[in-house]
Amino acid sequence: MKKVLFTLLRSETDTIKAARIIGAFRENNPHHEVSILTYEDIKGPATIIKGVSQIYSINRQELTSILNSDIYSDALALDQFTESIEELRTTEWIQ
Amino acid sequence: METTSIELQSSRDGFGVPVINGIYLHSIYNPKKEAETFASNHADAIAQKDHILVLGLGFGYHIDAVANFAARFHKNYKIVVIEPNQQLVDLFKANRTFEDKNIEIISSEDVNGIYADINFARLLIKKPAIIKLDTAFNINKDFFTKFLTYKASSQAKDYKKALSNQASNIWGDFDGSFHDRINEIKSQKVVTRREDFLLLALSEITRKDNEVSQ
Repeated sequence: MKKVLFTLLRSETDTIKAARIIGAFRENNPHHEVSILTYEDIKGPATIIKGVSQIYSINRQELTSILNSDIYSDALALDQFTESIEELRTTEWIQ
Repeated sequence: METTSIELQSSRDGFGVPVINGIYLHSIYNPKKEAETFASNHADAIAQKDHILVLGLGFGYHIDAVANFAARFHKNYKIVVIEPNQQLVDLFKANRTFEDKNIEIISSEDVNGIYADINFARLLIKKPAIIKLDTAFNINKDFFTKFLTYKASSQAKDYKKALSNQASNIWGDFDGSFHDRINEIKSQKVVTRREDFLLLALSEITRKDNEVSQ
């Protein structure tokens, strides 16, 4: 099954708008597996879009807090970011 | 201060009181009453924050009292206790336990190690109330001063070994700071290294205006 990733990284409103596009895509491509990449703080609407097999999320607030503070090692942010996207990196998406 | 002697004495009302280098960590008369006073003195902080960092384990009476207060104000709360003295932690565990599962003890003398733990970072990001047990704080003043004034190195040469394999692959062979790494990538006419795009993405999504405000 071919895999498609929708990146919804702007706002919850855009995610809601994208629901129709994703729905139409699913209708025209029933054999494609649809996934979404979004941010943790705006992923709410993505969770109610029908036919999405996987939602990947990045916790940008946590990463921002870590990377912009003197008390945390940047290693924490690099590790967390890498962990968030690791499955995305190793999956073959339609280009 | 180095622990040269640690012993457990019994208070007048029958509760264990650790004595380190001759210093009693709690009242030898009524440690539980003292603990209730301790918690009520911090009631405002406990009411405002559902995450609490306690400096000094003592024998835990003050932490039980803080937990009782926290339970009154919050449905969900978390109390993390920092205690550098492993002997004291062992003595505590041999004699007592916290029934409240929202309490966690971090026992380490390694300040770097404590701050390198993502779960501890997550606690700090929530801006917890910080409460100290004065007797324990004074016994371990050097440790707690270092703990409270800690700054992590921004240079990758100091933390590269701590990176996961995947993060290390993305980061590459660079010893400077994240900021310098991003500037170096941006100065290239053409970005050829695939992983550098991920570093640029991380830089972009962690601009200061995304920071949590609580």
